[in-house]
Amino acid sequence: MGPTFTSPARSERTTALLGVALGVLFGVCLLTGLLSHLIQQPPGWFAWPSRPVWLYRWTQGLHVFCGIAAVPVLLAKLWSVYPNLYRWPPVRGVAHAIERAGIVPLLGGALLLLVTGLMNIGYWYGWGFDFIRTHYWTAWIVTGALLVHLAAKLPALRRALAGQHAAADSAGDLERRRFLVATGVAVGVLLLTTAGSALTPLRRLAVLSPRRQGVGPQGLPVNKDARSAGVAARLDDPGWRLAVGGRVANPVTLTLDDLRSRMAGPMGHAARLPIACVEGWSQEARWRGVRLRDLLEEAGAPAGASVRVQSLQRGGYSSALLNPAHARDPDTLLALELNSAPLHPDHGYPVRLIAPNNPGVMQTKWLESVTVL
Amino acid sequence: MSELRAAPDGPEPLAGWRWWTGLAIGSAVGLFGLAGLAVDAAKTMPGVWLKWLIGLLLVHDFLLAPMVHLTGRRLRDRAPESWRWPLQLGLITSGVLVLASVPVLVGVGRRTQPGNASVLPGNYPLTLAVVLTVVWLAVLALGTWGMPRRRR
Repeated sequence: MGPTFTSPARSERTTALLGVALGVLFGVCLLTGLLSHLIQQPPGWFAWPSRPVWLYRWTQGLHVFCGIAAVPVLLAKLWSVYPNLYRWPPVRGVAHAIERAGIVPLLGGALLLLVTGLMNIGYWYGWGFDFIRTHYWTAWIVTGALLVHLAAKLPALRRALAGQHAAADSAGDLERRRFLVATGVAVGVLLLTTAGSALTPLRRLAVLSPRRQGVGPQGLPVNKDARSAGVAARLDDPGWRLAVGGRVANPVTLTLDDLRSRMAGPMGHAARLPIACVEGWSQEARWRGVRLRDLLEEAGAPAGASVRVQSLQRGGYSSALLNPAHARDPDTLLALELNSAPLHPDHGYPVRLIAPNNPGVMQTKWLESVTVL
Repeated sequence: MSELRAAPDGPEPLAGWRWWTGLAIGSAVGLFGLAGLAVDAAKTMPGVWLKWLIGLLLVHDFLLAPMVHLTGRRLRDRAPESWRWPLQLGLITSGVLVLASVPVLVGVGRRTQPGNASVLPGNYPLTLAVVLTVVWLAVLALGTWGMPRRRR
């Protein structure tokens, strides 16, 4: 026994429409999430291109904002099927028991993905487990449970989308539309107040976003500041050098002045490139520095080599691997300047990597070495 | 009005090749995820993970959903017809905005990186209040002057 449910907005069609929307949103999140995972931990067969410049900015923005949009849609869908929690008897045989048991990982996992995702972009790690690994494996669990759920609901989905139930009940039809429109409005307001952290035309509306375009040192947000990264005390060390070594004919060791004089010469280059964070925010800026490609040539690196850049920072995200496409891209810079001023310590002073179509976590800051592999 | 109105827990028997194929593939994918979680246990902490998963389910099923249910009931019973949809719109939008804003409202992220002013730069209680005010002004306007679909 349980409460009675009388809302005419609940119907197979309501659930089906919300289910389709949710399937699309979770599908986009899965694909863009897997893509980001592949880019950061590339297997041998995978080579992420350095062009188009904006591609990662878009795929990762889609990941985060489809996840945010999924919050009201998931809650609406759960509302539409909530009476089923009180069905009696709860199961009608083995297959039905399996199907209902599958709801636990499906729903619990989906809620976990959205809640930990929202907390993560707010820098709130209140759970103890590693966010990335857990988000990743939970996504596989939810995908599996979703496939089972789809297999069970396919007949109902087809029937509902064919509209056999809608015509019979015009009062329910109106209520259903109103409920779906209300859900859509909630999605819209949520996106309008957050998506401007990536979509520049909406930046003034991003009042509920954990990041804002234009807010940060030199007008650009910072993922991790120099103090938190444990490098602040080491940035003014007069003994700092950038070592270019590994599989090269002439290893080079450069002082900051050496880099500055190269920037003033033919190796110098400026490019407008976005910082595109895995947490969804992104912003374009003007970077100036030394072309990595030219420096690799000076050191006598073989063509088509991969390159590892290493930061003064230790621990997570202290180094990044650049595939040949990124290492040789004419816009890939060892940047000394941001928006026509020397890099702020939080943006990677004395020198950082900035490459086109590269995840923000791989745009390594506070460089100390470049190693050709 | 039927008690369980077209609750979509289909009467059709779960059988046929689509169901069994979906079950086989879905289980394989899900078990792959579970295995990954178990192998990575030092980082994923499956015990803590399970507590969160079950905890979120319970919070939804026995706290959030009943609250929404009771609010909806009250709305249907008490609100005049012309105000029902505007109120539903306002409540759904406000509820979702508040829930999704909990991380920025709590503001733990500022303590995670005390030197980074670009993390959570806003005055979120204030901006949320402004957004909610705009939403409820729209509700007021819709309730007062009606909306295009109110009369058929």
